[in-house]
Amino acid sequence: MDPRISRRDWLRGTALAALGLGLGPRLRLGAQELDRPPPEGRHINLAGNENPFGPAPAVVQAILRAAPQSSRYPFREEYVLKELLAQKEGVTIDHIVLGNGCDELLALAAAAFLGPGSSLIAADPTYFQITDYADKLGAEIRRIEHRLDTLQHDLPAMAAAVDGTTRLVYVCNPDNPSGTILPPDVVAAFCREVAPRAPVFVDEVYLDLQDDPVAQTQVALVKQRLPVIVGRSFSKLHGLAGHRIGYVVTTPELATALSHRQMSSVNYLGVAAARASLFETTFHAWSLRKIREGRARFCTLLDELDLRYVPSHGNFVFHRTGIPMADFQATMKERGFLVGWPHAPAARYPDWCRVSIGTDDEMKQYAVAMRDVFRRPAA
Amino acid sequence: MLSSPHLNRRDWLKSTGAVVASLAVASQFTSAKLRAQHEADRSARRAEPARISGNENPYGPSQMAIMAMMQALEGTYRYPGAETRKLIDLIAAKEGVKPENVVMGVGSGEILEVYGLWLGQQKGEVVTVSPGYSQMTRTMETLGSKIISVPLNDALEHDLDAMASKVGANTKCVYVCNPNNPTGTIVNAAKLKAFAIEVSKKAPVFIDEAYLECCDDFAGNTMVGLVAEGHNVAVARTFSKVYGLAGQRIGYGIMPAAMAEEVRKYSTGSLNLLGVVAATASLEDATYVEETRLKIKAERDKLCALLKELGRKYAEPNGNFVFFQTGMPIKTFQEKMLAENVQVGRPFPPLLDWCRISIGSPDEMTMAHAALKKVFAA
Repeated sequence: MDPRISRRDWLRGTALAALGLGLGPRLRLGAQELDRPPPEGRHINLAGNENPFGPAPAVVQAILRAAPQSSRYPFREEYVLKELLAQKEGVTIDHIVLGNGCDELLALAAAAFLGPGSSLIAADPTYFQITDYADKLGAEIRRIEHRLDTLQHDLPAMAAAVDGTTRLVYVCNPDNPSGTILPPDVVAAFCREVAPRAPVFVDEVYLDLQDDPVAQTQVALVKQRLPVIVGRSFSKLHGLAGHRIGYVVTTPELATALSHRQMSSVNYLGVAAARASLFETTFHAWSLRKIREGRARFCTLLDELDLRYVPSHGNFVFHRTGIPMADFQATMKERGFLVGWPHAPAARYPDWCRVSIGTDDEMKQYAVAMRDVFRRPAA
Repeated sequence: MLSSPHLNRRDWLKSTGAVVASLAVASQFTSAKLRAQHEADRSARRAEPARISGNENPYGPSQMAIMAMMQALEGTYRYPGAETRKLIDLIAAKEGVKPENVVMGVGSGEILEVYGLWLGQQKGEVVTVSPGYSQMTRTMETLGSKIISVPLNDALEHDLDAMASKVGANTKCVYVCNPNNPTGTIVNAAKLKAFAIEVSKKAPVFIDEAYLECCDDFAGNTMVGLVAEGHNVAVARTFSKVYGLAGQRIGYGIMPAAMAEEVRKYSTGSLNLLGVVAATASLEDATYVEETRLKIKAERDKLCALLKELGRKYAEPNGNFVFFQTGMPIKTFQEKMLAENVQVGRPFPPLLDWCRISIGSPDEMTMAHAALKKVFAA
């Protein structure tokens, strides 16, 4: 069964669509309307690496059922979710730490291991959460430029940068914003070499967008008791970014170190949603297919417009525009789109942009804007 | 529609089509699978103990909050951005401060922690009471700060004079939980105001008002005005208590802008969309707080009457809980109550023959009353 249909049926069934408010179709911008920017807050958002295909219908139902219980702290529910995750990952529950998205866990790892006089090794560019928090803590951040030919992490150079001050190493695989991935055996060899000297945080939030995440994950290293922290999220494949649920799989020792720094807990409805979502594999297969189709179409457009990019393994594509990033963002905002990410562009990529893959409709509209900006009318 | 804070809730529900939605949800119930699930859920809930241990509020969330969450469901694949900014603006307007004075937290617990992280690194002293709420002071202690605990007075209230006498050159923070947790007592507003103005000249005064909306006179007791007046004071609030949204983890602090900027740096959390829209709708629900406060007060009064009847001493409650002397070790009392399917509060040293009972639903309180009568029958 096509999950699109059941979802629409479900929405119709519950008449949520009839509510109108807040559920109306997002502003549709036709080519003829592109001359006028939409009001603030009504842009098509291709800046967040969110999954517009959203959570499965069954997940939405689970949230509805749980909503009246949201006056309760989710202590017991958290425990049940952790048990399910432990089962899924093939570890015991003391290997799992839940967080407000993987972002919280990245910050906790920084807080647990870094401070003045210590150093963090990370690729340049890469995802900014752990480096941002390390910076606040006064740690030294050693940014190791990625390979300029492939935009992949330069793991040998990263390993060479480890010294006596290094307390944490960050590997984002697949990487954000480049979208590149490293073969699992290469990452594993790196971890085996480096982890005995400093824990390695392997951020796998985009890994479940691959065909074979089980074959690619580094969880096996955790099972071998190596000090490796594998980060995961419900924000990407599961389409639950708004609920802020992520987790790590790590050794019980490191799990304790992270939990000690934890300042809050996850939320009740997020836990209910995540629990339900774990069983929605058919929906996720559909959602993943949609993301990949959208990504492939966007890459075809980039080829046509002769804009350089690297093949992406995430729900986003990093590509050259030849236009300074702030100008390109402003140009696209005028046309109704938010693109890029909430940071200054990497020094080497002042004219590259990261674009998240939206719905088919959103991407069609974005293609019109791209052609307009790059002056290549459709053939 | 949502922007009118004075909208009557019934009108609001009607206008958003809640009636249509609830009918439609009910129609889903025709599925045998859902009926079975519903029955299983209800049976499971009936067999559960009365959980009156966590100071949760079973009267919440506001119906407007639930509706707001339902409406936001379609957008939960998104990170909250604009929604959070709107909530901050609403909070600032309600508190009479600017958005830059507002620090959002994953519950007010996160506010206590980040504040503690910020000040704890200075490795000075923090003045608080015993027994009191220790989330912030413990954070400071782990960073090498020293906790100076001032005993509560005989009525289990803050002894502000004694606290003031402990404030010295090395004091980095003074923490006042008002109403106090676990005792539920409140400090005289005029005295607290004078205390805060005076003491905050030497060290920041942090006033934790997580339970203040449950007391009889919120407006007369809140110290948030001191922040707007420019004093070195921070006030924390939460949506977990009177607003009944503990599960969605939204709290905030109001403090001087420069302090807010420092404190925010330490935050590791991130707010969830449904919590944010629920909190926003709760603030827009003009009648919810007063209705809920009265429901809590009614059950609290009944519990106090029973405790009096059973000859139990209790502290004057102003929150959604009552702290009373059991005359037996707390562990023993917990076990006796659990045998009656009632889960009561944790130990609060040094008062280890006292217990904190949270105000639960009327059903839960009926169970609690019966259990208390049985435990204290002999």
